Amino acid sequence: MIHVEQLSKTYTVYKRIPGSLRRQRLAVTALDGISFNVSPGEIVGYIGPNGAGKSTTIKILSGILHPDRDHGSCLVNGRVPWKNRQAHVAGIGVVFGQRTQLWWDLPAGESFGLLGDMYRVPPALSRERLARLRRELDLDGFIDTPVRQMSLGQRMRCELVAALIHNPPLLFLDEPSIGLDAPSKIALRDFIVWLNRQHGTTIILTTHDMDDIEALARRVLLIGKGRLLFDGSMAELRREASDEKRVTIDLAEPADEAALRAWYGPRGLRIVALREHRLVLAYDGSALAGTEAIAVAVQPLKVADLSLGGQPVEELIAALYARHKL
Amino acid sequence: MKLAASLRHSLFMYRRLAGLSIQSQLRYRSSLLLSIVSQFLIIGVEFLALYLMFQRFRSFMGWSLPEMAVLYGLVNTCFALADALAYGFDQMGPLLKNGNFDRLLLRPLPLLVQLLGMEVTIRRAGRLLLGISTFGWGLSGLLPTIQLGAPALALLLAATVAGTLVFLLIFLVQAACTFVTIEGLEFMNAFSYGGQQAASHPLLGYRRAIQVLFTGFIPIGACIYLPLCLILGRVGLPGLPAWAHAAGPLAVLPFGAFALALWHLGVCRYSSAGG
Amino acid sequence: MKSYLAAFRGRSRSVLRYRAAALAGIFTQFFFGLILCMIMEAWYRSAAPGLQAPLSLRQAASYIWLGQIIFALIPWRGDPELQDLVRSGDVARDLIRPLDVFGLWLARSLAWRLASLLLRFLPILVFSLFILPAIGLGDIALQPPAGLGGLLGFLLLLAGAAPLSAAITVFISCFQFRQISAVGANAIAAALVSFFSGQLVPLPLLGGPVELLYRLLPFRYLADVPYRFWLGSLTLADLPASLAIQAAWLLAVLTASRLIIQRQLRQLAIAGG
Repeated sequence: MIHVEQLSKTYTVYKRIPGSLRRQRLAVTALDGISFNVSPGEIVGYIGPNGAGKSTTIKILSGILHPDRDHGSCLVNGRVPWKNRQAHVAGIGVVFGQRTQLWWDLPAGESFGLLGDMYRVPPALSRERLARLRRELDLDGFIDTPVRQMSLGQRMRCELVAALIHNPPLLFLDEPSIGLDAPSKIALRDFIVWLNRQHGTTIILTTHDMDDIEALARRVLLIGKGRLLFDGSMAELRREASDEKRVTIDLAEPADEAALRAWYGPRGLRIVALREHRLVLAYDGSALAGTEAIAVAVQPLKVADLSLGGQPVEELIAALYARHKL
Repeated sequence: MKLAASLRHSLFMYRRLAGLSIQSQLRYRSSLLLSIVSQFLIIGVEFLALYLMFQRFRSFMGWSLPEMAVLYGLVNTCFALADALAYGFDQMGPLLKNGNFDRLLLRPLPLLVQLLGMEVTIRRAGRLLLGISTFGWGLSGLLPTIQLGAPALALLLAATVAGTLVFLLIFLVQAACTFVTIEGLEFMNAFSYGGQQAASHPLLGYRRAIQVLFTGFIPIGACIYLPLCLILGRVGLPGLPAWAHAAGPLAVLPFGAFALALWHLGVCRYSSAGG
Repeated sequence: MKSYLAAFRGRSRSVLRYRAAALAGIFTQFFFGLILCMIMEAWYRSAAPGLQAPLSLRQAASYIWLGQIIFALIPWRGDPELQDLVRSGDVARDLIRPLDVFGLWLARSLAWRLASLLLRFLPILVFSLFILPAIGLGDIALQPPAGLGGLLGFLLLLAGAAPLSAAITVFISCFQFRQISAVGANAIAAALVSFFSGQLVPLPLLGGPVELLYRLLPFRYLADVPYRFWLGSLTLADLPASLAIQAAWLLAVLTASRLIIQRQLRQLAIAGG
């Protein structure tokens, strides 16, 4: 579906020299030899800190941007994205979380009709597809509302329809959940899963929301400073990042932090947080077994409840970024 | 065959987009009407000025007021049409600044069709009305003396189409330059509005450099003024044979090639620099 | 006073930052000036021999160039920033400042006009006064002012034209409270100002009822009257009267705008609760 090899992109930017009218020419490397393949039907999470090259990659794959001429190769749907723009974009769908594909002043329904015509979807097929998407995304309440008057959640659902009216085998979602409230986020995730199962749509998802990634992506690509740092499953990413595990304890009685620290320190446990009735401890999963850790942890305490788990994804990613000095 | 289908699709989509834009503008009828009247008024004083200058000087390079009105009306008609169609070109600055140009690149329709289809600005009808009415008024004053046979009418039509295209292409050049400058290009107004101003008067009255500029480089004069001279039986430019007057509208072709090449260059630059 | 000064300074700085736009504007005005002068030259060439025109061609060309030089000072339309302020309702923020809103707006408009003028006038002046004669276009160049007296009269009336222009700008902006009246006011202002200030046709060339009309309106004190001092058709002897009438018009426009704004604000306060 997607085949990328040694893809590079360098921008030329002009920086004003302070106090002078002259400008300095700078070459900025956005992508520095990226390679990966995506098979049909995959959902791939594409993550990395701001400025890592995520958007640049999406823009190249969707045909908006040309990569550096003398480097690498890139095939999407068997096509070079920047060679025949119109043919290429007819086979992909793109949703930008912060921009709209819809006509601001038109009711969403009319935008869909317009897009259907633009993608040359036969009217009957377009109607049928729209009816199904409409049901799946529950658009009935606002399909005749002008886009400008919609809430962000409503608009995002319409954006998805707009990107799917031509039933593309490949869908790019660029920060689709940005700014959405919790129910909208969950509805969005459910829809993405449905779409992937039902239609076998390949989905490339860039986001900063690690819960999205955890819920959706069976495979994660991590990019930083224009280089691909990791390519694998979420579980592998965890192992890669650290083997840190967590014990979260609800306390029946308050505890003294200094005393606890003196107890845990030599026994391989670390206090992550202690707030009134909640204590979070961390330990190295490769040094201690879970049962050992629990035994050590509860000894100085009156315990109301206890749970064991991995490091939260957000922290894991932050640790990973820190390790790669991103 | 594929080309023909693609052209048909483009045309169909243009009609669809333009129709929607007109429909949505018609939603605010009273303000639209006022805008049209306003523009009529603003440009109307321009024609009033021309009329008053005739009161003082009696003729312009041998041209009578009705003859001037025909030229003035035709140029303004072409300009008004181009101005109404070129809304999308005018929006290139904002499109590039807020990243919405990417959105156009993601759709399977030629960029120019998408830009042209963005809006057909009805507000510009004020100038159109003025152009048509001054043209009509001038022509009705001349009809007893000039003959309007089928060839003359065909030439007039060619002049109108070519003139509109030239103005449209000037706006396209302006849009292409936006890829480099991002900010709007006021200096191009010298050629769009300035060209309209200049072409509203017989080219015969200008110094050589301006005559060359508006026939050879930005061929507004070649497309509108020269054929009109042939119809009115006037000397267009000294030393120019009659066939060159009739062939004037063809000058839009090389200019169009130039403008399209420049636009293509701009798009390539955008997709390698990434805005 | 200090806050008015701050408003003035802030607005003028933001205009001065757009140097590229100013350069483009200057080029456009060179070009327009040239076209208009050549058209004027053609009119004079076509005139029947012995035609008595109130201006010579050189004077008419000078009149056109003066129009290009002070182009930025002509109040074609309301201050766009002020209009946005009114339209978006942010005008309420100005209202709660312990200042006379009206004075503030006037200061802003004056800054807008003057900053654009300062950016643009010198290159066009140099071009039309010195460069055109040097490249053999002396016939349609700007002539030097008619003596020191002419220059003095021109400068004094220009100094009065600036606040008059700002006052008219504010006056136009007074009608921006509603979209309909805004479009109408801008159009009528553009038509009246461009014609009756003399920017479209040199007013001395017009006679009859039109002359009566332009003499009855304030707009010629923005452009036409200062130009006449430069050209020497008005002299130092006319200066006191001209300045007095200009000042009277300034006062009248200010009073009218103040009355309208106060009425509009009262309505707004009632509508806004």
